[in-house]
Amino acid sequence: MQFYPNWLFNKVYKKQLKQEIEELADNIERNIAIKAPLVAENSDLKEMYKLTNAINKLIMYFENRSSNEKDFSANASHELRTPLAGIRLQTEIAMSTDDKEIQNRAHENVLKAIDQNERLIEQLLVLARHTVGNGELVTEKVDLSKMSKDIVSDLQNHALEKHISLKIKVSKGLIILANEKSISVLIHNLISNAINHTPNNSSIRVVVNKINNKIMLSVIDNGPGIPKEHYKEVLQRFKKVNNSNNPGSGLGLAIAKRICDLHDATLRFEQATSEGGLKVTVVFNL
Amino acid sequence: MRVLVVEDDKIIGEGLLTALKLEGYAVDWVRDKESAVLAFKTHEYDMLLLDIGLPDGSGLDLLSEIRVKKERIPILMLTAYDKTSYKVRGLDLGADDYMIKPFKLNELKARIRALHRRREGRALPVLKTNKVELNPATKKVKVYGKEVSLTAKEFVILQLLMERKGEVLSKKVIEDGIYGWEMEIESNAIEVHVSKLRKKIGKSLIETVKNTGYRFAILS
Repeated sequence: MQFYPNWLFNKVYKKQLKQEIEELADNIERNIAIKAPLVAENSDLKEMYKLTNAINKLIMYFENRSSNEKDFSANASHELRTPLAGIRLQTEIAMSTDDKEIQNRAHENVLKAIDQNERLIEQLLVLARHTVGNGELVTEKVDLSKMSKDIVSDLQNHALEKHISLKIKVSKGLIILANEKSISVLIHNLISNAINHTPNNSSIRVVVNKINNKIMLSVIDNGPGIPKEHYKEVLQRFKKVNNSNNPGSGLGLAIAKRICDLHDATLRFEQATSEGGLKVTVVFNL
Repeated sequence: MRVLVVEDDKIIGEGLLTALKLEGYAVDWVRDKESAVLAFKTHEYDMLLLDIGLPDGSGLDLLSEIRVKKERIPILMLTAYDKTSYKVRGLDLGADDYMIKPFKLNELKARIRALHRRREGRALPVLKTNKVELNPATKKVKVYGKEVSLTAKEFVILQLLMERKGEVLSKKVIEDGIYGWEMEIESNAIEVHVSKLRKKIGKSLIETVKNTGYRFAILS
């Protein structure tokens, strides 16, 4: 093309470009209808290949997102229907018999199922609050030391029910810039997750300290731990590993991860000691 | 009739156990795949209620496993997944019916009766002889046109005998049909039930076959 004079070159180039863009537009419409990826055919311009690739990536991104959302609503509806089925069934039992003992037991079960439903709805709302309006959290100075102590004492009763010893070790006055409510949900979720997943008579330690320019909050238990290959999986919404007897919604860690992401903090899993257990650490960068 | 409930949710599982026991059925409840397989090894079941999401695997896998071994058992799937594809897969793997949670107890009980009826090879919902008429849906029994009131267990025993009209049923078979594994049974429990039943519907309708069991009198 170097042999053309400048003005002619521009004209030819523009014409070719116009043609290629029109072709691309036609391609997009045609291929989206049949869900095929775009291919840049016979183009002299390497930019066309780059553009085609980028568009393919964009389409993939939206497809994944919509399939994740579909999975999410299928899972959410499953999790919401289950306690509802329990409530209906137990109510119908209570109404169908005159046996006081059976009626009382059914009523207790109705209340349990309602609690289960309530917890799930609360968690879904928290997740929704942290998903909509991407990353627009109002931040303020949060005393992580004090907050952790308060949450640990709130959860003592829950731990006692399972004869779990719940202890905390904090360095005083560790301040982070964060959304107070979100951080409180984060710490609460991590500790109650440990309580729910460790057997009776276990022990859980919460450690908050500052190392170099990082503030770390760790929840360490001596329970069965999580196999390394499941670390990523447990962060997914509604994922339960070994779920047979735990009362969780399957959302606690997904919410924790989301809150960490919004605060540029990292959430780390590791084996607590050589004998097992789980150590979950949140690292806040200062 | 002996029913196995495979359901990991405590509240629903316990509810099904109670509700079906109130119907007079023998019910066993397990919460995972492994225990279900074990239950099938140790007992004969007339009906399986099966949840899809189990802690140690999918109920669909269990479904195909059981279907291969037990060709005739009616299987009713119970699940909170409402996708059509799940229903289709369940039915094509050998389930006979499918209900989505939350379900209505009345409907579940009616479907269980219908599945049982089909398995017994009859379409008519009411069991009838010249003298006795038994309606599993309303739990009403008429002898010579007159209604008699039976307990849930007496009702199920009479239904068992009428369904196997002319056959001798051993005490063990009757016992398995009305008591789940967690119930303590007095050694003479079946005799006691049958004797009360005879008093209510007339002695001649149930014959005792010595050392073997009982039979619904064929001449009636």
